[in-house]
Amino acid sequence: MNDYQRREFSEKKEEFQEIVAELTKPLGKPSKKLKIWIGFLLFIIGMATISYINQIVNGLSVTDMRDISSWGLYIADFVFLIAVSLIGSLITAILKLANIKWATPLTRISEIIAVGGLIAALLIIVVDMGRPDRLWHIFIYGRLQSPILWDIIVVNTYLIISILLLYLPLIPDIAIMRKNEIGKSTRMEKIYKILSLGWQGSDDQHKLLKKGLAVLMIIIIPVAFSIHTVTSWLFASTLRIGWDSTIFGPYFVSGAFMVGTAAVITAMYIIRWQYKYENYITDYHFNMVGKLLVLTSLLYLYFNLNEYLVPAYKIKSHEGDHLSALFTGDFSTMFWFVQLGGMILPIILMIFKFFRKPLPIFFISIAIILGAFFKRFLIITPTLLHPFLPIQNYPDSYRHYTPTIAECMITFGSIAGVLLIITLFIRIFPIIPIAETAHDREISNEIINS
Amino acid sequence: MKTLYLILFLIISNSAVCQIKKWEISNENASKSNTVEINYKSLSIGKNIVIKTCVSCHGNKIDGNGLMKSTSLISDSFNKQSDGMIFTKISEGRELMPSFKGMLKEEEIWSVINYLRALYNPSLIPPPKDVSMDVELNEEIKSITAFIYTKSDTAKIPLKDVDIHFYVKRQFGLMNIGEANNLTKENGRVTVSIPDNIIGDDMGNIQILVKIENSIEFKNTEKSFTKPWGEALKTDDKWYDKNSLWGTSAKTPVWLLMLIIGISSIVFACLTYVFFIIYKIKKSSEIYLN
Repeated sequence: MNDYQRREFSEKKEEFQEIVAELTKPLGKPSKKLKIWIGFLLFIIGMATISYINQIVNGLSVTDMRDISSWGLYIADFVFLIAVSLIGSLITAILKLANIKWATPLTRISEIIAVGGLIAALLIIVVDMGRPDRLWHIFIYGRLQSPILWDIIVVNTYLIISILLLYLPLIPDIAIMRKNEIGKSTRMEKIYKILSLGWQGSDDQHKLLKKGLAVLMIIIIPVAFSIHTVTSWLFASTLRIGWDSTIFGPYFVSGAFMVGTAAVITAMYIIRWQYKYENYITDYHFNMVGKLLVLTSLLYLYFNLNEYLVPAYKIKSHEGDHLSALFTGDFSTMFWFVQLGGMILPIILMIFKFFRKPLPIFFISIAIILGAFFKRFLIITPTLLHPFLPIQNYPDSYRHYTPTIAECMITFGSIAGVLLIITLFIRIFPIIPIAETAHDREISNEIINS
Repeated sequence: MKTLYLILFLIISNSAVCQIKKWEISNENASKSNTVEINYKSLSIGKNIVIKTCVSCHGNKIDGNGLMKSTSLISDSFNKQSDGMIFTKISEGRELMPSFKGMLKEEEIWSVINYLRALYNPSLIPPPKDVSMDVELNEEIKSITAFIYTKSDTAKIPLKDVDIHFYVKRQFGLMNIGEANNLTKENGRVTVSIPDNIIGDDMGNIQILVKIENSIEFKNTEKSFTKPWGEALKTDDKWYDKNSLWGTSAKTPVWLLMLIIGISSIVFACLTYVFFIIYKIKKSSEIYLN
């Protein structure tokens, strides 16, 4: 090694030390702000738990779900969470396989959003059950003919793959943390030790890891597509106005990619702002992921045109009631808020480069997320309120569905749960992959392993 | 937080309490007097109308707890009103309470009022009469004749215009046969015939009920008998034995089962492979450590 090489080596080594120090910064003592934030989330989850206990005691009558509108906010929340979780596959698998470099700092963010969203989605389904004590019946008596069973199989499989895809790239990072004595003599030390698998960073190990990741990245794509397609089939396989559609699968998947990308942007912005990660999540990243958001939104817009314009052109008698309720009737305010504010306006704005800067795109993403949530509500409730058989001899309240406070509390609780999972994950593991960042900056394995 | 405000806004805007208009009844209308006297006939007319048109909203006990919150028609405050006031309210209506002046004749509205008064104050109702009922069956044409009479010392006196209900018992209730009202004729008789194609049990037996019920004038009377007048029930098992989409969990269609098992095994084979890789990484580290 000559002098020049030696100098370069030590420079690279310093750079690497700096990266490790910065990226493990959130793992130190929690700040007061963070404690307040976690306390706030726990408070909301506590309120949701109280509401849920009340719901178990008094039954689903504490919700506004009745004979006609038998699905409501919970199912909307479920579809929303499943949709958000789809982003894990888009960023960690599709972008990675396409060799897109700027996706590196976003992979773990998207994967933890996926895991958090899936866990909350599975919980909210149990919440929607009138008799949660009979959950096990689905495993004993479940009929494979029912799309609900397909959904259970596929959501759980996706959760396993997402956790693996979150974990595998973490192995080298945990090893780096252990070498740099981060988290030493804390409660986490043992867990880090087990999870690091004693990673040495040898070429063999890198090969193995690469192989494992490749398998996961390929297998997650069909599974991810099927989780949201099957979720859409829960609706599309029934003969109901507004659901009886052949494009429901791609319509849902494209919508999911849109809201997921928006969720990642929101998380990126907050993480960058909180931990001053301007060097890792740059304006360039926001610009690129903003372009991705425009692409996914345009795709979704295309499916929306198909989904609403084609039936609206024909207006079959029953479909007419449903569509006029959306376009000009009871749901029109929400519908146009969702379609204009949550889709068309963001697309128009994001075409301009200024709106793909961090702060503007952060607000646009929040609008998209809100729009996406209400969109799920609009897919479910208006259809249920327009059955083919006229609603007769029912109490007047059955003709409307307005979520009760209890339902809202539990729904907020589920969202808070996702945020809590993400927050705690950031506290325990580096949210931006250390080893991959180092690789991208051409720091050799020798330095990383030393 | 934005979501919270939006949802709260939606809840508030949806549940905004509607302001109900006040009744406007002129003195002239309020002092109208009832032209129909309380007797068996007006009470039964009133009762039929109440069952048909009032109970859906005002509740089966007409205490205001029907499909929607409404006025209790058996409350003191309701019955303090003059007949004329109630008459105007029924005929004119107000918002959710429909106007009945196009649907009901004046005498019918008065009969309704008579019936409501009688419910509030049962002593207004004359006691129901005992009647006897004989049922005559015609096996050939599958018809039933109900004969209603009162017994005197020497003879049976037929009763005219008694409403008889004929039913066939079904799995979850009673199926009406004949007209909505089957009134006895001069000779105290009314006949209905049983349709041919009623499904009975596996022998074709059906249970037929003949009833006088919910009558104000007469006590409830019932006769029932079983006759093999229906069609025998044939269960078609061939669909249940097939593996089909509507079958039980044990009857999953083979193609579906293969598809799900096939896809799942491919995915889980991949996952097993990944777990194997994790195991191999763990193993290889141990070699280094030793």
